[in-house]
Amino acid sequence: MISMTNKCMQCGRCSAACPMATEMDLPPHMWVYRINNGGQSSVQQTEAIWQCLSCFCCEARCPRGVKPAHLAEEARGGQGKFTNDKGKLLENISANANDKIPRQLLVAALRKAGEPCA
Amino acid sequence: MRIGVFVCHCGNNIKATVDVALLAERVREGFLWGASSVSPSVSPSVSPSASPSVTSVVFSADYMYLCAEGGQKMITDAITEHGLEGVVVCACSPRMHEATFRKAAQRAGLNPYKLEIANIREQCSWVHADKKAATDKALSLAKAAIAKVKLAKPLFPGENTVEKRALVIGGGIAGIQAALDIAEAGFAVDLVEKTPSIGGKMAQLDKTFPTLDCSACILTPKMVEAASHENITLHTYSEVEKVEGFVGSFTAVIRKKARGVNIKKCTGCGDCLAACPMKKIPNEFESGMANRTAIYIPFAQAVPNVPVIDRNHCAYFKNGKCKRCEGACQPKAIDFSQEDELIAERYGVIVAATGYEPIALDAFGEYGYHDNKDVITSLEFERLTNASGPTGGKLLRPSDGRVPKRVTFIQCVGSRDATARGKPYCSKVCCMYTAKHAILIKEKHPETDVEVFYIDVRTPGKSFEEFYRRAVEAYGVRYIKGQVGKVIGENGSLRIQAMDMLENGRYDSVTDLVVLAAAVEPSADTKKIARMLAAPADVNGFLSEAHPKLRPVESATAGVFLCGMANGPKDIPETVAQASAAACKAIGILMKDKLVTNPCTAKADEDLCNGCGLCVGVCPYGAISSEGGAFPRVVCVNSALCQGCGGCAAACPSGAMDLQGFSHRQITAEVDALCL
Ligand SMILES: Cc1cc2nc3c(=O)[nH]c(=O)nc-3n(C[C@H](O)[C@H](O)[C@H](O)COP(=O)(O)OP(=O)(O)OC[C@H]3O[C@@H](n4cnc5c(N)ncnc54)[C@H](O)[C@@H]3O)c2cc1C
Ligand code: SF4
Ligand code: SF4
Ligand code: SF4
Ligand code: SF4
Repeated sequence: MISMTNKCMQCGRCSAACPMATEMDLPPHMWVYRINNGGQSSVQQTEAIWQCLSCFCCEARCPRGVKPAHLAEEARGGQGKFTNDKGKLLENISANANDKIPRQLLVAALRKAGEPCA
Repeated sequence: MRIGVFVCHCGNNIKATVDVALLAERVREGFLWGASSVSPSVSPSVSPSASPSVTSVVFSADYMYLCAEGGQKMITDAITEHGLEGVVVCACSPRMHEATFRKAAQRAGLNPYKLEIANIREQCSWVHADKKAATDKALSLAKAAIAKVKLAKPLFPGENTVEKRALVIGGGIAGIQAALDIAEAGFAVDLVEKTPSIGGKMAQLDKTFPTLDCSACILTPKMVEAASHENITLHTYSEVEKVEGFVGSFTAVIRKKARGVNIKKCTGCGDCLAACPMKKIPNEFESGMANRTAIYIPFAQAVPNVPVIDRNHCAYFKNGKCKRCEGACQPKAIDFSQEDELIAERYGVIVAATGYEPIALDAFGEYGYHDNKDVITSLEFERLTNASGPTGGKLLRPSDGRVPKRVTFIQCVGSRDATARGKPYCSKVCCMYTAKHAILIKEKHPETDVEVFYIDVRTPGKSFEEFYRRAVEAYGVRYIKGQVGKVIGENGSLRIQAMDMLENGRYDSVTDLVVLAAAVEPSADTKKIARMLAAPADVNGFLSEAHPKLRPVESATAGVFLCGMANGPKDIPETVAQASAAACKAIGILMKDKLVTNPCTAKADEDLCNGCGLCVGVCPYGAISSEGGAFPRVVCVNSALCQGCGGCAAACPSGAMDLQGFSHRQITAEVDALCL
């Protein structure tokens, strides 16, 4: 997967499409760039990889076939699903869920946490 | 048979990896070809003369650069002095210097086809590192070539006459320029254009970068010149249906579609247009931004300036009633009974100049091209800013006719896109025409804000960078490195969601007009034309040049030349240069009365051929026919058409088909020499 990051030409279309980019500490095109230069570990401490909704907008728009969402997924996987100390959303998702949290984010968080949907 | 072997050092290219002196010595060890004398000696050296019936290497030598004058002289001298009957040159690929060495052999009185090349550079020294192994391999390659030359028969090139007429397919600036140049050299040219007028895309453009001269002003005189040139015959509203034959002697069938208007009687007054009741047909020339009638002249400066009846939309052709145009036409030029006409003509050369189209944007829903009137393509923008366009050159939004306060350009739409949606290549002209569009807006409306989203700005051309910088520095166009993710129509405006890569932050703006620089692709017919001409196209469908550097305007099929966008993205200056180059190459052939043909062609042994015809379908050049000839049940190869690919020889189940210069026996002997 990492080898595909060198296909990126830094056009920014992924970040322009991403519904979460404005919230992220590192928008998708930047984590593609960083993984390409520093490997997966270089993004594992970011908030962004936990904020990604896995909506795949970035992948639909990317003209080079790079898969930013998959890269985030891999980075998360590298840390183990439950050992994350950053993804606040992962704790008590069902209990904390409210109308303000976008539906998509909620579903994505549940999936990442491995919690069964109630 | 007395054979001489020459080993080239190619400077250090070969010598560094192959022991050339040892090779020159060891080729004289006879085993397969029956020479008895094994005399390791310092090369060049001569072995005791062999008896005439036995093949032996009687001379071998190595030399620094065999292709140089001294090297060639060494070969010619040896041929005369030692009475050589076959020569093997161990050097670079035959693609490089086979012709050079064969000419040398001919000068010394040896049939050139009795000289073979052993490629010990590309296929040996360049791909190996171990000197001993490379030397062994070079020896094997040399032995294979010796085995082949031993069986070589003298071959004699044939001749065919050259029809002194050129066919140019496509009447854009590429085709017009090529036709004019060939005509100026004194040869007849038929220029075939599919649409009702010549001019191509250049006729639709407003000003042209980097000089901003008006496109029509520089194109129209050329169109008129082409139409009035005594050596040029225009076939507009016409298509090439079939091409047969070979360089010097092609035959093409051209379909002249029925215009419904007698081109000789029509004065171009346009009275018929005014009379036509079918007024709401999207005007192709205006990129659909205006309407036209069913009988129409595509644009004001059209050549020929004669209308055509669009039968799909004409009331008479649809319902059998109307003919108002006929009534309005004073010179009685309208002719509803006109039918397509087929003409067949012979040509010596063909120039393919079928141009390009912008890609369809259906797969790029995020830009909202189909949902918002104010999202347009760059080609549409050309019409919008053109004084002869639908708005008379006023920059007005298609939706409400307002002057936009902000215009947003998006570059690379579908270009440099390796996914199924787009094209992997750079379309080459969009960076420049976008800068042009931005300047054109600023000149008319300095108060309008212009922003350009780019990935890279590519301006490698004469005065190109300066032009782009002028847009930024003199006109205040804002260039934003980044791309747009979404265009959303909102309260009569367009909301842009984009990324500013240098700010590393999201850039959202509200704009009035979005212009998409859509990728270009070969025009729809290119594939068909490629097949007709047996001219290969590349993975993207552009017609391929025979060599990307050294033969840029020739196709792989002899006598077929390429120019303009049909061959790949390029701007007008490059298109014109290429068209003149293609014309020059074409003239080179037309100047000759006769062409020498390559004798390495296929030939069927009539005694062995059982007429199965398998080879007929295999031949990519249509060179084999199974009818005609003294024996209709055997096939016959047209040696002028045959390119010597050898497909038929491999396909023939009865071993009747053989390729001269590469006969089955020769190939088998080569394999034996390598393996035994
Ligand atoms: C928006 C835009 C702006 C541009 N601005 C500039 C500029 O400012 N300066 C510049 O240098 N370049 C510019 N260009 C590039 C320029 O348009 C091309 O370089 C040029 O038009 C190429 O000419 P051509 O003759 O190869 O192709 P075309 O103009 O496409 O001509 C091909 C012709 O072949 C005909 N044809 C197609 N198929 C057949 C067939 N089967 N039989 C017969 N005829 C056929 C077509 O009808 C057409 O008339 C621009 C391009 C675009 C898209
Ligand atoms: S998948 Fe993640 S990174 Fe990609 S667009 Fe959706 S939220 Fe953004
Ligand atoms: S869209 Fe693709 S190519 Fe463009 S920056 Fe994102 S990952 Fe790189
Ligand atoms: S006959 Fe056809 S082209 Fe002529 S005026 Fe009627 S609709 Fe128009
Ligand atoms: S494949 Fe061979 S046998 Fe069959 S028709 Fe061709 S030449 Fe004759």
